[in-house]
Amino acid sequence: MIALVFAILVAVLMGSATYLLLQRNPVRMVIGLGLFTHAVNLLVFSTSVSHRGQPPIVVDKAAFNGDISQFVDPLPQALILTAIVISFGIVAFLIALLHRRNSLEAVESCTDRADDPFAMEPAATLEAVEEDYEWLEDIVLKRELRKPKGRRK
Amino acid sequence: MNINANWLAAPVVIPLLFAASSLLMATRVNLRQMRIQRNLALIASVLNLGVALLLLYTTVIQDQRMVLHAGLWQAPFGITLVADGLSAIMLTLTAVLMVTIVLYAIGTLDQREGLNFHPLLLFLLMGVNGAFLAGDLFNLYVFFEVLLMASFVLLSLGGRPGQVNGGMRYVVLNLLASTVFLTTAGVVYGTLGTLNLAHLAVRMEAAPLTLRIIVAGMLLIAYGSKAGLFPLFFWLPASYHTPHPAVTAIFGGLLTKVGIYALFRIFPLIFPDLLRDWQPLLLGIAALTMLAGVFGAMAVNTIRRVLSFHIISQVGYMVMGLGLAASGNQLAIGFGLAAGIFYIMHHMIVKTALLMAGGAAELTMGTGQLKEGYLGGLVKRFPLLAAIFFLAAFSLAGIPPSSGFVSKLGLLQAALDSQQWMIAAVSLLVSLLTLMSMVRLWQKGFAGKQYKAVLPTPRRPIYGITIAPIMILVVISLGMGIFSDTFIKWSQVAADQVIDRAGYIQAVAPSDLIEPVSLDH
Repeated sequence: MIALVFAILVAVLMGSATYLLLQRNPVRMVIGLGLFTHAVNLLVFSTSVSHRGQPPIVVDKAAFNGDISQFVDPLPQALILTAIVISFGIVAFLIALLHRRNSLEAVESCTDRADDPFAMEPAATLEAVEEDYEWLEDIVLKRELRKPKGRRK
Repeated sequence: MNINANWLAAPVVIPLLFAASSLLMATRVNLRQMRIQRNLALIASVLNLGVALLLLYTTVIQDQRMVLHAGLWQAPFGITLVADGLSAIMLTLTAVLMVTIVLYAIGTLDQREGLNFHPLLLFLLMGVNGAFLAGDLFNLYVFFEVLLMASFVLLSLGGRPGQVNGGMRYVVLNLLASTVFLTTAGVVYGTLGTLNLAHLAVRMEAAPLTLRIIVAGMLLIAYGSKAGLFPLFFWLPASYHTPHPAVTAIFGGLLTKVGIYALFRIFPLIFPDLLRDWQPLLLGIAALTMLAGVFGAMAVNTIRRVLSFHIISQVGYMVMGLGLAASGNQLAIGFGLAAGIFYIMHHMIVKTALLMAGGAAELTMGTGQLKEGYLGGLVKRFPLLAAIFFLAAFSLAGIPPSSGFVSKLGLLQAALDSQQWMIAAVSLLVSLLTLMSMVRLWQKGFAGKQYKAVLPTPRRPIYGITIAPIMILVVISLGMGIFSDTFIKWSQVAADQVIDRAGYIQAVAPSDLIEPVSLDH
């Protein structure tokens, strides 16, 4: 019975995640990814809670004579603990990326090409290209690199 | 010589320690800190190369498997690290690429070096090494995530508009693939009650066919998307041309190959019967991947975009090797797989060399645009760079005596031997188209008329330290072509170990104390 509840929950979460992922809005996409990872965590979790059991802790190994089969499997919980950390980190990074994207001035040109994997570079004018590489140049850095070795400390 | 199994932890521990200690230096961006980080990265990558060669010697030359049960927990219960020929070959190639990329970064890297480039590179190395050594499904997932996390940051390091856009696509699609992978791990654990690969190989035999098909199909989707197989490759050309050339070079050499490695590891070990039954599917995917990659390369117009699409078409060849692994070869058992492994070796070296050379040209000229009026005449300006690019490009296209020729010949022999005429024809056609594409790169970028540099003066002169690592890789590629019998023998040893399921299971020796969870609760 409880397995069915978990199955339905996972299905609902995955369905809504898929719906959100197919939207054009990047914020919805991030929310969709969050839901998706949670659905999977729940799926992994459901492999250990199919019946009411005991915590798998044995205090006195020598005197223990209980039934091991009544123990709840602790491994899936360890697994999702790892998975939660990983997915949390990635979603946080994605949000940071999204923030950076929104704060860039050229938002318009970003969104135009966002969904076209075959988009060509726009016809690069001299100034545009130069501006793109301006950032790579760091005059202070160059000056320091040129300094004779003895004087750098 | 029998080396201690604890050495297996070194490829993971060395990069981790060095990355963590060089992060401590990252208090603020200054030149001295950058130098320390760079030196630490160099030391770590050289140490890692040493360990990888040691493992290569033990597993391939002495034909052994090495197994490390972490904390002495026996197989299905603890974390298991396993190295066999295939892992050791991949580890060694990764180590070689990592040394060359650190050298190349010294010559080419800009301000981004101050943004913890080197620690990130070491974290990437740690993830890749761990994925090659992981002996269970969940650790494979974790190390995949470690390398992906490092690659996300490396890809968007600098935060230019193009990088942010490419990075978003890369992160979303890879996160989805990882989620599919984790779902599969959950399904496997829920039904078979184990995640250890050797233990799974035992239990999967008794599992119902539906379960086997579901798990194998989902793993094919997950790994196929990481490897850039048709039709899941779109994240790759959308993102690989955006970061710094040094980052593109290491990504092009390493990342898709981790997905391919996982396919080479999982399918022959856990689904030997499906590998046979799905041969038409695998060969079909291989053919479509090759064609899609090579046609994509013809449609795009900057050096790195062209080379990114060629990664896809080359990955098709490797899957072709996997598809041919199951057929009854007369040359040798598993010759198809051996040819695939040899192809991976060749590809990792040559593709990185090409991306490095192309990236160096792009940095000095300020553009990688192949249209009329941008690049051109690089032969006269940088004859040495042009010569190296020429050698690497024609190795990729498969001109003798390069490693490309031998590896393509091996795959073709395997295909003809198992009478797969279609895939043989496609591989020949794609080979021809690759040659055409390389000739186009050469004509548009290197030969012909010199145009005024897009930027008033070259921003990044080409130093000796930029050229040297590319040269090392090209020499390795030529060596692999000329002394190909040795390398083919090594790949054959590795392929035999991959196909020998009983040997793998015995080496890991999972005890079967825990009953599988019943399917009806």
